[in-house]
Amino acid sequence: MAREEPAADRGRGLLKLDRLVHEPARHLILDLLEAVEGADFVFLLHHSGLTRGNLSSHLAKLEEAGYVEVQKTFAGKVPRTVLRLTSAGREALHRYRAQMRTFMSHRP
Amino acid sequence: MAKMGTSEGAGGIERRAFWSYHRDGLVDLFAGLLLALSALVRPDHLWWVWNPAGLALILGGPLLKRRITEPRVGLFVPREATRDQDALRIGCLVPAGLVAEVALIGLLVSMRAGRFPALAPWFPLLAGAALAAVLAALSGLLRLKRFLAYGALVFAAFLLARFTGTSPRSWAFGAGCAITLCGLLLLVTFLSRYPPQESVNG
Repeated sequence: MAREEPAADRGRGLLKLDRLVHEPARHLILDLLEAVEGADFVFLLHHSGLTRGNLSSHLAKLEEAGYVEVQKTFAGKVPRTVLRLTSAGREALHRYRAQMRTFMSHRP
Repeated sequence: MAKMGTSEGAGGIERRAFWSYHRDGLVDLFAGLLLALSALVRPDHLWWVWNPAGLALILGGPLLKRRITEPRVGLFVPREATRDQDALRIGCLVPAGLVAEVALIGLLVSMRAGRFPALAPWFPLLAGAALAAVLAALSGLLRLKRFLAYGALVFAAFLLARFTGTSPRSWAFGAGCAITLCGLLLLVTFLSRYPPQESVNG
């Protein structure tokens, strides 16, 4: 019979959460980007409800961490910037969810 | 405990993205105007309305979306699985639609030449059912349930024409105007509720 992980160890597991993903606004951004293959800034602005400054700031952090990539293309003559979730970002999101599931499953 | 995020959550977000992208009512306006215009034209001349309209939609639709919709609610690229599914649907629906169009117009021309007299009273219902099917297909493609309601409205219009003995073209024109009005209301609401946003990086 498997030995259940002590409560203290489960609690300490929370300290290992990726804080970049844990922040609600950034989690929301990653969630939105996971649902589509790519999206522009206005899409994220519209669907997240964040302010422009807030969204820019969080996107910069996610890009710096390698979780989001920015692709600049053209639609005809109009420049277009598309944001995509990287594989590292996807893995970080899934890892975070697995950690939260483990932690929450032992809570009433 | 229910799975967090994953496909169900992502599917819900994607559905919301589609709904938001078509909240502008542009497709409703187009469908309504096309139906109303079709009702004013002789049935055997519909070929000259529908096919140019299809071309106008393919060429002008993306341009209108870029000018009106995307600056307000943004642009998204659906997941590959969704794009593949849509490509398959379009690949089946477009040829089926063309075949149905040719068949209906051919049937109408034949009936005017005196063939298939038993079918004549039922032809408007057939046309109504075909139009309703097109709207239902659009509903699936665009993930917009309101197009199912439009399809039901169009079929009901042709049904009423059949059983009241009145002109199906009048009913079709009325249904087209109703759909156009819905599209117009959606567009006005959309434009007033969502001002254009400037993208940070252009």
